[in-house]
Amino acid sequence: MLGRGLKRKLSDCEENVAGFSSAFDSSRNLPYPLKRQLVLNMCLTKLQTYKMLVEPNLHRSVLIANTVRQIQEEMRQESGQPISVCTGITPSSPSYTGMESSGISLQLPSGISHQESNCCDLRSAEDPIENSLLIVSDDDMSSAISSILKDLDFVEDISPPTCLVPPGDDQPKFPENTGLKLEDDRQDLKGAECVFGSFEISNSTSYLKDLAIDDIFEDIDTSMYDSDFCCPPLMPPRSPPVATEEPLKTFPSCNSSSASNIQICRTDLSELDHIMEILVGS
Amino acid sequence: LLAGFGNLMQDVLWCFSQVKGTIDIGVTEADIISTVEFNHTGELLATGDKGGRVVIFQREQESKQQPQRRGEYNVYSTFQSHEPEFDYLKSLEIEEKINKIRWLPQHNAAYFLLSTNDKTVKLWKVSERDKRPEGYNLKDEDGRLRDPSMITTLRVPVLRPMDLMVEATPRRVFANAHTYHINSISVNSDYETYMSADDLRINLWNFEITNQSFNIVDIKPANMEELTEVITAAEFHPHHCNAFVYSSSKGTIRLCDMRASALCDRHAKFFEEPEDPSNRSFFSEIISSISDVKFSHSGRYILTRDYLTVKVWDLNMENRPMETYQVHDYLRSKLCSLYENDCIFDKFECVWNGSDSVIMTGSYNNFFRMFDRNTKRDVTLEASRENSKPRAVLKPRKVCVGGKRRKDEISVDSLDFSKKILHTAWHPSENIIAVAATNNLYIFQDKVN
Repeated sequence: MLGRGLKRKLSDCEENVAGFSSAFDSSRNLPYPLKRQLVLNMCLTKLQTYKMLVEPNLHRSVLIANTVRQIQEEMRQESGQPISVCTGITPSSPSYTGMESSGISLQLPSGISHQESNCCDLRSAEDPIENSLLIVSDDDMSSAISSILKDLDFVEDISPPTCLVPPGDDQPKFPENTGLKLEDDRQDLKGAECVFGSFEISNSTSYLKDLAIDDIFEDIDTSMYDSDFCCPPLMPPRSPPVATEEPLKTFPSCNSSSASNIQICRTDLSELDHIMEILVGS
Repeated sequence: LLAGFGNLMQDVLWCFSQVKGTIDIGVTEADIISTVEFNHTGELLATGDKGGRVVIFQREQESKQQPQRRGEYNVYSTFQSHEPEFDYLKSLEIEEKINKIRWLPQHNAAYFLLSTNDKTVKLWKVSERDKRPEGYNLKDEDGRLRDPSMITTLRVPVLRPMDLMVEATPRRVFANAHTYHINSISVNSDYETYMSADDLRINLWNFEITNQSFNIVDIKPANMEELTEVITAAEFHPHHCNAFVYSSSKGTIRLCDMRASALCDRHAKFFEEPEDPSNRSFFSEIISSISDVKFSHSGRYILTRDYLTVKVWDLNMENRPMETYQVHDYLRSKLCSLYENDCIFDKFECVWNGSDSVIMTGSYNNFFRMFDRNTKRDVTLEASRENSKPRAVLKPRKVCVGGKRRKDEISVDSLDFSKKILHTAWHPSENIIAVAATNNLYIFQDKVN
């Protein structure tokens, strides 16, 4: 599933992580920011692994995403950034009563330039060891979580049976703002790329391709993180959920964040047509 | 004699009774037991496994000749409940693993149970056949069709005895109602409806109707990026057919009343314990995720299991649990390693005994724990082949947390985290428990004097 060379690096990473996690558990001397960064890295690694699965575990993904958000919030507060800058659109769905008010929405980073400078400040940590672990910025984490949770929704959804559910407030809201979000994601990414000046972020949109890594981060494999913010997830605009679904539009291969996969999509569709022709015998 | 009743000076002594399953070192994944459930009388014990099979054991009649063999459980029926499916449209494989089995109360000679995998619930009828018709007119005894022109007389077929045959037939298939993975099913006390819960939705079904279900809970946000909480378990109240509870990944329980509105997104009661700031860690939320919720038989209490504790909640007290029991608190300092190897996501179940006085749940190293709510005493026992001599009394186990390890104690670092007891069941009225340890099913009973 992973490209050549990446699999080996992943297991190396796992070995390092295993060493770290037992160090985390046993040592009281690890500085808190380092511990936090360790946990954050583990979370992002897991999320990235799930992203590659055809059907990631929703329960685990949500728990891990929440942990990342929590760490993210803590880091923001430490850097003195007011919270209001970082929140996007607050959830408005009335049918979900369990939403905590502290839940941070990660859709539209409204203060992008603020976040950029924030990232730069974080980056200026003196400790070189800490620096080598500060691989991911705020935006990257947000984008990573966003894209993973969005992908989870791409599973073709059987809406509640319309024949018996009463209409009204309880109806799920239609996601009309997906188009707008894509634009903001693009801007977000340009901002991220500026910050990562010394990074060679390849324009490759496929996580399978190798990425060149800057000397400072030689032994840290960042390719897994890069794929998330190379290109916004290209989702076809979603029409409101209807009782009769359009099976063809929810092809899983359209999920991946890459333009080349759209080609794959089209190929798959034509293959499907071909198969249907054979089945129908026309 | 139920634990907690009678002679309180004596603790219940648990003895090995039986073990089902192979002793092979290499365990076939398909044989891993994924659910265990007694029926309402305790006469039957059902297990489901990862391979989609259901095995039902029946308790044999107790005989005067062998009083010490108090009703052993023997295989009664085995059938393939679910098959692996491939969803071609989504390119997804649907696992055949049986997530849950729930029995229906018996009202005639046949037994009925619900079994579910991630996507489809099935109603199975298990019935006995001990007679067969003989003397058909159009078929001979081998089943071959006779030539109608050769038939000169007619006779009435008669029923003759045959060897007992137990057959399982699927009576209903409830499919295509869940986008996300089903984690719970629960039969309503009206015995006409049941519910199935997945990560984001709960559906109500009528047993007679398979092509539609009623959505009663939907926590899916309009935008999936806003999703911060999922449903982890759900159960109907044992007596009030309008009430049910569901638990969440954030450690909360909601009691809902179906009379209030069609869509039960607004809870009638909300149970949540305030976080203990001294125990706060990066993993606080993950370990607070509730993996199982069970009403007491009385219907007055709720039992919940999260990663490190079991809690008893009073339905009339929403702001904190009535009782909290530590299952394996020594793991609190190992959370990062357990997160790294994904053990922190293991979903342990919990059960009440018949009188609601003792609760039981599993742990690692094939340990399981029991907590007596009256005496406040607890015990750790182990399901292992070494302790498997007939009627051998189980010796309590102890985990040593550091410092000097006594003989017979085991240190935290020596625990085998691949041997986890996730599924256990307690007989509805007697001290008989079934404990699933990977591919083996252990049955323990209390000591007969």
